[in-house]
Amino acid sequence: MKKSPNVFSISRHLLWPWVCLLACMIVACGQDGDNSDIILAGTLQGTALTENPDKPVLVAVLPDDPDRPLATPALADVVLMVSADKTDYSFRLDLTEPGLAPGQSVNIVAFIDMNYAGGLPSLDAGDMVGFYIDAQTFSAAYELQPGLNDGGNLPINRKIYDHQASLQFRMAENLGVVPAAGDNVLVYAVHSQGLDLAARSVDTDYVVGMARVVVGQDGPPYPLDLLTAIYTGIAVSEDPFGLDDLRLVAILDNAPANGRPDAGEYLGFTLLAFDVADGIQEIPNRIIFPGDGFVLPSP
Amino acid sequence: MDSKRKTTGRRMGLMPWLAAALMLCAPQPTAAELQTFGFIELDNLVNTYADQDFADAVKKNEIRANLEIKYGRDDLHLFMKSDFYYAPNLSGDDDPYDYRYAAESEVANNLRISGTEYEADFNELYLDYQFSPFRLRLGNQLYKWGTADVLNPTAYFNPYDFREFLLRDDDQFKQGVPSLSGMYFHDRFTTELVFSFAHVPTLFAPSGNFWSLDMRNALYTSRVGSDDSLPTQWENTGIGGRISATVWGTDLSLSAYRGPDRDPVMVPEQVSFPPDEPLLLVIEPRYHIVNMFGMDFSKTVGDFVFQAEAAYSPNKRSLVMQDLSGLDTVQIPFDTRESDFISYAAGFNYFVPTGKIFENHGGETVFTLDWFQARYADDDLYGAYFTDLLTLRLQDTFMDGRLLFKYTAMFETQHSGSLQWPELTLDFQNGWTLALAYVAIDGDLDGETFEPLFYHYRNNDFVSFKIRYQI
Repeated sequence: MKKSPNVFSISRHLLWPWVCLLACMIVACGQDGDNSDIILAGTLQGTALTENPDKPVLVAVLPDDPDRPLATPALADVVLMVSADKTDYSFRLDLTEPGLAPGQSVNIVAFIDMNYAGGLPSLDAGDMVGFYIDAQTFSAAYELQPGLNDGGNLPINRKIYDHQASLQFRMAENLGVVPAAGDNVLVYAVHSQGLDLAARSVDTDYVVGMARVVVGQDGPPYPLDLLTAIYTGIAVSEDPFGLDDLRLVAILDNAPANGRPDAGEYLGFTLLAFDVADGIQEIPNRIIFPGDGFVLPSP
Repeated sequence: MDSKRKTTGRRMGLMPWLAAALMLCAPQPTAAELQTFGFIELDNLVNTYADQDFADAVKKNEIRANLEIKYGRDDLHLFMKSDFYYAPNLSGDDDPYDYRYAAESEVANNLRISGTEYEADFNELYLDYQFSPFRLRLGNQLYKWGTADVLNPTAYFNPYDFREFLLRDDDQFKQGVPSLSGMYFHDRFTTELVFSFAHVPTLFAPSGNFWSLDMRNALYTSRVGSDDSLPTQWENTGIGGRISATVWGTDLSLSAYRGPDRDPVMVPEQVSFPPDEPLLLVIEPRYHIVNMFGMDFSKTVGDFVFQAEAAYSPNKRSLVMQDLSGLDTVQIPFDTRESDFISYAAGFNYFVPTGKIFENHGGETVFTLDWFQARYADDDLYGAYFTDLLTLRLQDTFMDGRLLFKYTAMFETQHSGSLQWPELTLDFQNGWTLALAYVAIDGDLDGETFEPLFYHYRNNDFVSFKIRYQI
């Protein structure tokens, strides 16, 4: 090729510094960035796992919803969902990319798609589900820390039922401790097997519904929707839907008013058990607060 | 029966190469001439996404060797235009798979030989035989049918290489297909017939690549499956013809085609559950036989060259829409269905008379506008992946061709997608050229379940520089 006597001909020799400079841009010593990974890991347990080895087992993380800690999650709200490792029924979620930060609270749900027939899994009636819940605080909130977070051993011990059961209840207004207008009251529908009135404690596995009401604002009567995910240790009538032998348990959330049960807060309950069917029904027994303090379940 | 078909397919695939070899060995009456051209190039790409280490930001260091050979006479010669690529991991990146040519070693029907770090392409490798007024070609060929500047609706034969989205160089953007073509030159028209005997699929970046189509959301990861070509058998051959003429000062062409659709239907086909990972949705590119009819024209009016191109198919396939609001209602695999389909491109090139404005401006200034749209008649089908695309390009040369400036802007108007692409090339006119470019990509999700491509690549902004030496 004919060389033209111009600056670009001369600059062939000057090309090499350009090449070196550009090469340095390619191969530069990079600095390691901060490692702010958030990993959540744990294990799953439950007979449904070993009895259904061909069904998908998934673990999902959702933003914490303190009002409904045991609610069947909507997959549209999921931050991240992964498959469990079926060799040892462990799970591990890398929550760094979804944008979660240390200090944030999440809910952890595991489920087995029992009616999976190919395609995409779904969470619906018949599936088995398990929640992370702090048995002492009744809270499903898990606060994330930097690095590895221990999600513990999640029991997949609830089955999802298709129902619209809902309760309407009242509190006694002239017996025992009467909550004042504006007081926060935490109310749980509990199967009698999980209620130990003598010990003044509740086994969270037997909680089948919950509500948080403000006295005088949300009722009376106050609403309480039953959960669709019910512990397998409770006998459930499926067709038609029905639950027997339930009691309402309430905690006057005022010492402190923090949205969760604390030891010593007044414990209330319905004196008689009742049965529930699908649909809305009003409970004739009112919740009475005798004046005893709630006792947190043993760790 | 299947093994017999496979044997027949292999024989068909080998036939053109055997024929070419035999013709080369045939004695030639006059001396053959060997002409060689080529270049060697170092191409580097650095992602400008801020939240990563610099070593991770270096996405490509590629050595490219281009070789063009013509051996023989003008009326009988072997022509080859090939590229050899090697992409070593120079930056010490922990993830060396940011840029891979293929997921694993493979040899395609058009002799493309790919590994993870290397590739050899023979997009043009054919025997050319001319005996006026005919011309025959046998081998890998590129058919430059159509007049559009970006996407050609009537380029039925040559599949695209989307391994760098829309950003491959013009000479890398389409793949040659093994074929036999015949051209007839008449005083008033030209006609070309093409028979392609082996299917070549569209290329997508493999999984894990910087340009891969892997999509990840809270519930699942989607991954494009392998680029399986249709079996090499008579049913999957392609045949097409084009007739071109100049009528009333307008270059006009009519074309028709029957054969494998250049554009695959991306079918969500299967679900798996890898441990500790979101569920995996595998999307398989599926190819079907289509009939296409097209036309294109080009007309010069003053400093403007107007061009348009359109193609119609009565049986192009796409995915049947599903209700994606709940996972439990989604059926895997998706169904596909045939539909009437039309795609067109229209635009112009304006040769800006900058010499009249700036006396010393010695170069050529061209402004290009191109609009591309594709539509299925069936409203129950998902639309084409590329559609509603407006491209604007301004290019100018200065200092007697030593400096080339090019600015390309693409707008995907359905989802506010955009791509801004300025390039500066310095030609030292001693064989060396240096090209610098920057690409910025943006787009909106707009609530779509399947990410629009511009949105998917919104973090793929990059700076590139190439150093080339022309042999």
